Amino acid sequence: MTLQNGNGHNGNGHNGNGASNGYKYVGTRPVRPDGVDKVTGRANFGADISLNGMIYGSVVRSPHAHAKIKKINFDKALKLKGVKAVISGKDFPTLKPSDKLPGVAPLSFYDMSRNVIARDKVLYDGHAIAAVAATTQAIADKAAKLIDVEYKILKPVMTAADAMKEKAPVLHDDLFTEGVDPTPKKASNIAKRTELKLGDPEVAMQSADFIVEGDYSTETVHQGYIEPHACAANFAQDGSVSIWASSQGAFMIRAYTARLCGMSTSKIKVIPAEIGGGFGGKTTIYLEPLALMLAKSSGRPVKMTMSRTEVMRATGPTSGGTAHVKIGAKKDGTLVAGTLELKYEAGAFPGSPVALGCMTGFAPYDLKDVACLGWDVVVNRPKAAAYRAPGAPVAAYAVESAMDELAHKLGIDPLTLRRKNSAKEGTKAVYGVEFDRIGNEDCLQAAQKTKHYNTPLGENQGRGVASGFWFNIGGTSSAEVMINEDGTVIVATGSPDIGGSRASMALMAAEVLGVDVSRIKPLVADTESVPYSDLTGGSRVTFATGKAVIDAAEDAIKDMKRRAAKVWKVDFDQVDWENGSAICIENDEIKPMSVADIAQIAGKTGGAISGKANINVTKGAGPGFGTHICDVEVDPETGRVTVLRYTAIQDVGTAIHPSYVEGQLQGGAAQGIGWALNEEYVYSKEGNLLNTGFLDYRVPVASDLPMIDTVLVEVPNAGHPFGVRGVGETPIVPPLGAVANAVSNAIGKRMTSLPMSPAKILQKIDAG
Amino acid sequence: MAKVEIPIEVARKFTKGVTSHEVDASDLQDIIISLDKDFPGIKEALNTGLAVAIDSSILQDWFLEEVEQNSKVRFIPAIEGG
Amino acid sequence: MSKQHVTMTVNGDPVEVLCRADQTLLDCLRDEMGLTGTKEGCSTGDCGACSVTVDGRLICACLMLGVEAEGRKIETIEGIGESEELHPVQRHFLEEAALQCGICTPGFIVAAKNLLEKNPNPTEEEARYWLAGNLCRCTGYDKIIKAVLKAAEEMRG
Repeated sequence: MTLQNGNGHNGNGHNGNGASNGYKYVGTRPVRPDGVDKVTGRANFGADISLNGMIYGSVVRSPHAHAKIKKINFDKALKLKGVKAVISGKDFPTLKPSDKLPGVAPLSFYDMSRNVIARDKVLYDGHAIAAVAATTQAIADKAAKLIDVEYKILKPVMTAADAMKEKAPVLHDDLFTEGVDPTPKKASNIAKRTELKLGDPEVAMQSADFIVEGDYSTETVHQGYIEPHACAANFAQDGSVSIWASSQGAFMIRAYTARLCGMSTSKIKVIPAEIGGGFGGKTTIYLEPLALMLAKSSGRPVKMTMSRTEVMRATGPTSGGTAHVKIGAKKDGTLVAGTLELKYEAGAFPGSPVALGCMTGFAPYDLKDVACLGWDVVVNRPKAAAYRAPGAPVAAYAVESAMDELAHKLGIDPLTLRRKNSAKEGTKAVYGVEFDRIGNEDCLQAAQKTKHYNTPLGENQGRGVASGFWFNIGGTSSAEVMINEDGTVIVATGSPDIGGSRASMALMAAEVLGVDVSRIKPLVADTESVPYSDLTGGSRVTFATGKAVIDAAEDAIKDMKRRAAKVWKVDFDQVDWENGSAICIENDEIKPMSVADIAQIAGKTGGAISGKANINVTKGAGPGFGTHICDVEVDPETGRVTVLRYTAIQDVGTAIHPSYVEGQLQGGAAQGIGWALNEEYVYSKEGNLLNTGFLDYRVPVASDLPMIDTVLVEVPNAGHPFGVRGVGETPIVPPLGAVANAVSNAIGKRMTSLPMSPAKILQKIDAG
Repeated sequence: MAKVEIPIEVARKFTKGVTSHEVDASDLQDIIISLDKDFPGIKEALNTGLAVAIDSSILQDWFLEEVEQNSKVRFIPAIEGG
Repeated sequence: MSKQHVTMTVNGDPVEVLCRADQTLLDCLRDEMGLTGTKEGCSTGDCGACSVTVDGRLICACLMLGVEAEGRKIETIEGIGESEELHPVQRHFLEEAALQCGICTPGFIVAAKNLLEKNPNPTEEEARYWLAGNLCRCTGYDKIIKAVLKAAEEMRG
């Protein structure tokens, strides 16, 4: 294990002397390949596309949280000059409940289709009902307002607790609770029950000397990417479609849009724009099928962009939820049992990440007797989308709060208590899998050693710590490494670059090829220029797409060795690859040939040179563990919380580009701090979202935060050639607990509800 | 024999609540076929929304993976990412 | 709605543009002039992605009408940096890895450059408050603030 203190570096560019880890390029910090375009405004994001003859789309959205659509009248809109097309749910194929994505992920196209455009019922404020395209955005927006919709308003149900009640209004009359036997005959809002269990926690709990138990609640929060969803679609006379869009996966857009529009995948080409943040929120589609159908109907390319209000009302968010946690321990701090019950709001359609909450909540701890029960509940809010480590932060908030309470009760340092019970190699998690070598213990140890943790606090200040876990995944990735005539290198993948992954692809290719990283140009290809790749998400790109790049680079090396062997008239196995050159093993008289040398004679030795790899990395992703430390000061007069100091410690495997790894930790921490302190969806009692902009849905701004220190614990992942471990998601898991514990410790009372607004804190203080 | 663990909800529906089974099979496909013989209908339940863990490796996308003697095979909720 | 003829200076060049009276400066820049480096994140002045300067004053282009730009000097991200050399703020953003997705970056660079023109030696706190109108959801601001302070140091010489 090695440690990198994120503060220690001087932001140095790549200096050519290599990293301290034995690699020449991996672990250095060169300027990212797409950097200049992004600091000069040249990079094209979703809304920046402009097409010949392009017209503009606008969406009609429901003003009601729950209603039946009786009639849609387009007459007035169609009379407006400049209007070229109108569509509603009737223009899309009707899908059945059995229309699912084949494979592991239980993705329902039946639900997705009805989420993208409502059919007979609207299920949340902002639900799309119809769309219009016109020659200008202003005309399209005006026309949208002229579309008359008649509703029969139904009573909305806004929280899991209300939705689970016997007499609650039911959103879907064809939804019957999964996971209970027999399957109920009566439709309800409870979509699914998930239970995980190891040993017998009820019996084991009886042997505890101390038990902590509590209820915790959180609100719906949004991913809050700064770039609203945007796309443009062109429908040619031969039925072929091009879609330009910013998303976490061009192939994802192609597959989902084809399915929802009843088209063949081969008819749709998706060209990825730069993506302005996603955090999981751009792993699904909203506008693309509408733009496609409007383009088909009008015969013109159609561009659609969401406003911020539309983003808040109709996309994302992640589930709010409640947790009931119970942990039992011996006097010496040994945990004997833990139970967790989670109720997550899925939004309008089933599919909250509650099962993942169940799997992750206790993952940092070695518990032989543990059980988690999860309820997936539909409510009249937008359908939840993935958000960074989906499901884990809320579960961790409850467990980490209980651990803090337990540490106080036992009089044990909270990090010591966590270390004493930390999951390690061989520990079986509640979902039944034993961990390989993991960095959990290493992170706790590193946290305890930080200067931060050993600095005394002042008056009205509190310190909180919390751990977090995320699985990380692999998946299908493709890459092609192409050698240009001058020996420079193109690395093409199908993985959108959401946070600097081009830089890590370039570094890994440089390391394998032995070519300077400045001579490597990574690119994100469209769906017809690179074979299928899964979307960017699940902390999988540097790991799995990185592996594809490594394999493709090795494939290119093989080709280059073959060329050298041909020129030297020796057997292929007489050629080796060293420092970016082919060398002849047996005859050192023969001058090595560099990539540039070989590239120059590519034509004479068989044509252009490239290597490719199409892989599905099914295992070896290596789970991520992290520990965060947070200091706050609470103003006892106003309840305002100031975050004074924050340190994020994480096992990151090998950091390919340490600056961007630190950035993941810092960004995840900031989002978690926002979740803990400020962010929440506020609904009226009629079910209308009241805070649809950044003024009142308040994400952290620069003046809200201190510097966020990072400690990169590098336990190389045995499942990757360079030891890469996904790093993007773990950092949002600990902050909710870390901040809540800090505030609780500052005021001497346990904060059990997020966000910890000044009003809530004052109420807690005043409760005496 | 591979030791196979199936989720509680699936067990309740197909195996009278028994979550642990010993199956003589050399790959995941054989395991599914063998379980389905004993518990008709379980095949579809195991093929929907579940990942597989063979010992400490989680397989999101599985089909024909080999299973060694004494391997522990667990069907677990599929993992999505953000 | 008929369009108005507006004359302004954009990044040093004289520009004539036709825009509707209700069109924002942001829409004029992006849709009428093709200057898409200025981004739209909210259209309500809350996110700062559309930061530009008007006669040297930092504003959100979504909060000003295009017709109000008559006779004014506008500077956008496209006007920052020479053809072969980046502005120190841009360079330090790259060296510090102060961007991840990059959508907020043009706004931050316009705002940070404007800060350093007014205050060549800002404290960390001053930089944080000046940039509090620019939202970044990826970085947690740490590296952005470091980049701005390093650019300030370099520019002071």
